[in-house]
Amino acid sequence: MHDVGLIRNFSIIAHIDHGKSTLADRLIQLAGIVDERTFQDQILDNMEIERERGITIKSQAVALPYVAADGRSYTLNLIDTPGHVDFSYEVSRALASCEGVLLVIDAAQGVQAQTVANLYLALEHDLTIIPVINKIDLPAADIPKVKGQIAAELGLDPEEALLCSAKEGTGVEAVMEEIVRRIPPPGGDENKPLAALIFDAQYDSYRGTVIHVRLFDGTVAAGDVIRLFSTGATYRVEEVGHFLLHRQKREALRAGEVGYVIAGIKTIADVRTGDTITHDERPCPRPLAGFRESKPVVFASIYPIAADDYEDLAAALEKYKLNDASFVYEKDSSAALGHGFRCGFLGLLHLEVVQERLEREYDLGIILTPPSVRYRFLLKSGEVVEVDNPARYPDPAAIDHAEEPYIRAVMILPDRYLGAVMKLCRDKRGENPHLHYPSPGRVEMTFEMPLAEVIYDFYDRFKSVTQGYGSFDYELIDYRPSRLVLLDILVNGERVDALSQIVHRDQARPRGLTACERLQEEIPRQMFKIAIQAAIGSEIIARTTISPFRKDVTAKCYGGDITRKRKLLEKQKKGKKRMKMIGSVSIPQSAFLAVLKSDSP
Amino acid sequence: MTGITESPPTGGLYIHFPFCRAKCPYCHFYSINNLDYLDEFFEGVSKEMGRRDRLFSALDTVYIGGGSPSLMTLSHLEKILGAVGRHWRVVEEAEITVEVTPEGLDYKWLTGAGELGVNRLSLGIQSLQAGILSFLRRRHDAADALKALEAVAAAGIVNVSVDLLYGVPGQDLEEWLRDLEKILETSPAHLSLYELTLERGTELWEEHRRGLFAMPGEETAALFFRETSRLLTRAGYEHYEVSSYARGTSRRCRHNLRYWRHEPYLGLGPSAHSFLPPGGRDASPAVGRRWWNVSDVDEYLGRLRSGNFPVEETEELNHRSLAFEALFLALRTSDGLDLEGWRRRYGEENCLLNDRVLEAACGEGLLRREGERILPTTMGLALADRLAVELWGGTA
Repeated sequence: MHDVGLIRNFSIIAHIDHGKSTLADRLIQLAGIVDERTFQDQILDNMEIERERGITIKSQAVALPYVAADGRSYTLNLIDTPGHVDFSYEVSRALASCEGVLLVIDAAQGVQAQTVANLYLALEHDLTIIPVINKIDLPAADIPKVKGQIAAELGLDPEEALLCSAKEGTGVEAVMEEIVRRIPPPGGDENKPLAALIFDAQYDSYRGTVIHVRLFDGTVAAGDVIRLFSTGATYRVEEVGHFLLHRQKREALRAGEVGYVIAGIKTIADVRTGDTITHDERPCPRPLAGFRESKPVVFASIYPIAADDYEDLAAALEKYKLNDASFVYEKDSSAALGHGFRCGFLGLLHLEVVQERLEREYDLGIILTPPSVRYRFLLKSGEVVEVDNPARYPDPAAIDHAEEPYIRAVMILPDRYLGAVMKLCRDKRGENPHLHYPSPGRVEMTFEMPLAEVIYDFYDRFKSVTQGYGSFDYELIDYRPSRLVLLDILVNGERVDALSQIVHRDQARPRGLTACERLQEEIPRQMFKIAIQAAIGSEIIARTTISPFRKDVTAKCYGGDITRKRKLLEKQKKGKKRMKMIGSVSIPQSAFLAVLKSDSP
Repeated sequence: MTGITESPPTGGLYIHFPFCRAKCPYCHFYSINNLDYLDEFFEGVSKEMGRRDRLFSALDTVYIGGGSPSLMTLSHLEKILGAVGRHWRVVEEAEITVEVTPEGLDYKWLTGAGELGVNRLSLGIQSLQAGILSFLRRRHDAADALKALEAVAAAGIVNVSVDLLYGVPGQDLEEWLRDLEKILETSPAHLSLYELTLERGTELWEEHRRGLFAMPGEETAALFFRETSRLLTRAGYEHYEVSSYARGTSRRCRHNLRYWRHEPYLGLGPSAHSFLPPGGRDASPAVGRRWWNVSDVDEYLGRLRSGNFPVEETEELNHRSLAFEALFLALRTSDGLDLEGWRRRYGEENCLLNDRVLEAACGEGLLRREGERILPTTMGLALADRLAVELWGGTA
């Protein structure tokens, strides 16, 4: 019997490291759907990179069976959300599938920048919010202070907050019970036309596209002909079900439920996360609302190290795209690197995640070019061109003026770091600072800064100067006039187009020198002297050199040494394959991103 | 009827004499100090000859290395060279080399060896400096070395090669060059001047790992290499291979040239390596074959007694692998690589060169081009291994 009254759809949101994943693990453990032996820490974060970085990138869903105090058996659908500022769009998709959230707050650290940001997102979706104070076992836990912040900074009733220690398991049962009690069951009408929201999708090499959906109205079952709203494409459903860590086939999914649909969709480009699924014969009148288009703000090109891998890279990007609606790409080519793709990312972390996943999951050797933001050039002809690829830099003589995107950065930090962060932001061309003291000892600072400065090692330096205590979030605000130049890198006199950057005039010289120094460190010594130069047009503004090897040969090579020698040299040949030949110089993969790292600690 | 039967080629023979009084701390060749096996060893090698004599129709180089072959008595030497003569035709102008150490080298043994056909000696002097000889734990001194050179000359063996080591911790460049000059006064036909290399498994390697001494850096090694080459070249020697110098082309070591030119050679004795290029009688035409014997006298003898080959491993080399080997071997020699011959031998599709690197290497003075031949300069010889890797344009 289908009873939506027995369903709860919820998410957990938190500032990074406040214990979201640990709490999710506890809930899964308590639901008894996984035995101790197979229980891994942070089950929802099932991608290697997420585990290593301790962040959640992809949303996942899991159905938790729970017998509540009222004696009834509920299904609690936990929809995991990404935990990083780069992924706010994915958070929004997951939240649109829920009726409530657990807002987890660290009992020692209290409310942080992302606690607030996540709360606003949840409020935007009109969700029930259950504050959960976690890590109450910590000696530094200060529950009264956190309750004070919940009232003052979040505007929530502190008496509603639940206390728990996910690590030790205390209070977790009560969390389950309160999910049932406070979060409303999903609405919707199973007799109405089907309206299901795609909040995620994955590619299964055997089954094709596995679409993760939340049904708002109607039902869907195997054999149904469904239509994807945005494209109008129709498919016959092969299988539906829900998630208990793994897919569990069911006869049908009904209004209010969360689950998956497999419909033989081989062309992964047909599935857009955020789209609505309906029945072909009896469609719903309009697509579901609540999703916004993600906008890439950081752009970089991806090239295969080996030209032969281009097709594999194309296939990998196509597959990757299915799991990451916020990732965009198009074909690109470079004189130095051959054929590749220009890609858009939500931020630098997103870029690094994509890079790592392509390398690990698809076993591809790739080169990423220095990231860029999207600049705007107003030409003398009156034409406006947007450029996110240094290769498309307009003819300098034709440019009237340039503009670059600005962000408003919101940083919360202990006030003892104020001076250091102020200086950092000023160095990064920040302007118009505003200070606000939400609680004694803490300062919330906003700054307007060029986005380009933020992607250039800002995170690392911010984390460093605040010793990890600061939190940072940003939003794009507008474009402002700027003085830009194209900074080229030459290796042995040959311009490497893939290393070009668009930079602010005043920073061209230090940037150029830093790039040359980084390349000097990253490019291994070779047989010849290598000259590395930075140039604006024909003007050389910085230069470094790499001294060559003088001796590299074994003294003895006769008789039996030949097989051994060959094997040794073959190993070196393999190592060389991981590098890109630019002219006669082998440049390692790492060099392409290294030009963006500054030398500040 | 079968098709055309090629007659077996003329080859080179290497015999590994695996006995030493004591192992030198830098040496990674197989040796033992139990001389009880001597007689059995000679029987073993004779047996192995019987299993392998069909490979070659004749020999034009024979090289007895080790180990310390000068531990052999004249009757041992007679026994072994006699066996060689029974199994193969040794061409008239054949080069027959024996490696010897300076200690206990006497006139009688030398003249006796000469009468048995030995016409080339490789004399392991290593150094004339007491400090360095003691670091290398050699049991002779400079006086022994010079005396040995005199004895060789007196015995009428003119084709003599002197082995010396440089790049030894604590070695002084000026002192090394003075020693070289002292050796050159005796006008040896050939010099093998090796940079000391630490090989895994040797005593020196172990001591270095434990931090007991530091090896000279690359810049120092390069300086020694350059200055050595300059001195020897000025003295009229031809720097014809990374570590080899000859007083005229005719004094090159013909046996070693076989290794660098991918010519067939047969190695007998424990740990010896053999190679047959494709098209030889004992290899299918498509592949080259290299095999090496077990590195254990007991096992070597045991296998031969039970009628088996004492081979530890055999490797078949396709044309692509051979082409790469040919490249890195040729780049060790001043003759360099004849591109046309290379491509003809291993197939155009297997001989892959990166033109940009080739151009740059010529531009930077590492290689010279003479028509279809690329020849390493002295600077190029010092970088021969890296040159080969960088020049290779293939994917495998």
